Amino acid sequence: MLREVVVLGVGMHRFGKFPETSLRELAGEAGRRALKDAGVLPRQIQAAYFANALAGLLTGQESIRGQVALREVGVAGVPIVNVENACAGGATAFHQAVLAVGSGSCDVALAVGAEKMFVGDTGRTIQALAASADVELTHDMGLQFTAIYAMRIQKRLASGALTLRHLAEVTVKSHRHGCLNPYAQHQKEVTAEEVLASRPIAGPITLLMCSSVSDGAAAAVVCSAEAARGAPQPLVRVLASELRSGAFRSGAGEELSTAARTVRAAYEQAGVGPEEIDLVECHDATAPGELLYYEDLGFCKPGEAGRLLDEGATTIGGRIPFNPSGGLTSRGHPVGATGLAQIAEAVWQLRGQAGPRQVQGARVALTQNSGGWLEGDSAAGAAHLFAV
Amino acid sequence: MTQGVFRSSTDGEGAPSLAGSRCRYCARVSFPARPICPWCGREDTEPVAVGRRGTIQASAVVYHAPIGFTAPYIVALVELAEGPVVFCPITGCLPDENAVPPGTPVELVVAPARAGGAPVFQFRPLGG
Ligand SMILES: [Zn+2]
Repeated sequence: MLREVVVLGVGMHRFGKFPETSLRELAGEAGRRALKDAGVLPRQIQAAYFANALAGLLTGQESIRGQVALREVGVAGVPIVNVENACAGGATAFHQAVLAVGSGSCDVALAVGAEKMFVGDTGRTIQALAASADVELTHDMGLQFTAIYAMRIQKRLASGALTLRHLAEVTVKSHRHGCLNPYAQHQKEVTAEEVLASRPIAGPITLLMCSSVSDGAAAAVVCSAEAARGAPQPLVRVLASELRSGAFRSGAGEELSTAARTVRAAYEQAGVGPEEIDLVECHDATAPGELLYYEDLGFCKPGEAGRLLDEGATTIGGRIPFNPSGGLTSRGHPVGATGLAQIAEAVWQLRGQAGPRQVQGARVALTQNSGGWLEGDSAAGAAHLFAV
Repeated sequence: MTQGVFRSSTDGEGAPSLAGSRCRYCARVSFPARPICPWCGREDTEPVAVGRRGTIQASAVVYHAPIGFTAPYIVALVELAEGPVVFCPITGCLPDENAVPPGTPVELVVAPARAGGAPVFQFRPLGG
């Protein structure tokens, strides 16, 4: 990056089921809140990036989703780029905004992610999600993303590295955190017994372990450090912004995952390692997926995820809290909005504004967003590091 | 001859196969077939039949089916004998959690096309 970039403001529309609210209204509320938080007027936004994954298939709105939605924020006339990168779209839009400011092409940029998944027919939504794979290769194969996670988890169960109890306990933790987040879709505690007794979805993964179909939006305003003087909120610095795509993989599969490569690049860019990070928002599309990320992101050695969870390290109040927001599992997963919701959570935590879910003394935060699936791995990965 | 992801059998064996490609330089095999080698980057590949046999890398029983599918059924990652890994449904066995553990040898099955679609590939336990 040529110059330092800071986050001026963030905002969200709560995640959940909002049958009466359209995509543009979701995006509008999140965007207006981010501008207000930043102390910035719409005419001060010099470029905007809008992430959405499914509107083309679900509502028929193609091509100019950002131009349509951002009028609700009062942003028009400036460059608006529509970003589509599966479940990693939100962080991808943010990455583009950071690049625009960091390169000096503009001083203030807006990133908004929004998704409207409740369209009266959940089956159609699930079908649209399955299009985040190579449809020529996977059409009519019954591809269901939970099964992908189930296959990864099953390997750990078979080796004894994880047990069903771990899968249940990480889910319990997710919901406990979600209860503390007013933006979360699910704000109800669950017990390990309820988790294991809920409806099976694929392999060992049950309904309560899964992120939900959701409506919602999240947004962030970024700015150059020099133009940010006098901003109303404590400034949160962007230490690293990295985006990757799924690499070619050999059959043996010994290569690093997309997520691991992306996060390692972010560590390198920032000169920061896992030991210096105070909290993580990771892409737990299923709660047990979080356990895989403990290892993939370098917070424990391979095979030790269960122990890290058992120690209580990853709960709020622990050594390295994961998903204090409730994560995808409890906050909900409106796919194009998720990456920016992770970033909003990181910003609130670093400012000390996270209320009952505050991670005390948080100085450095990592957000990790994954998207799509191609030949055995995520098709997209984004990672960001923030600090105050 | 190639039709979609399939290669029709011109080699006399009569068994169906998948349409892959092999790099003439580094000999590594890709599926689907690609005009450029993913491993060495050379634009020098030839069509090759792959995927008659493979082994299960991982599998899962799907209990909550997408539209048009009837649960439970098994999906898996199959490592083709030639190297590439594919995702597909597993047929020819009961949809039990332990039906196709990792390492299970499997063979290619061409499933008929669904209405308006193209035929898809599946695998079944060898000799099953
Ligand atoms: Zn080659």
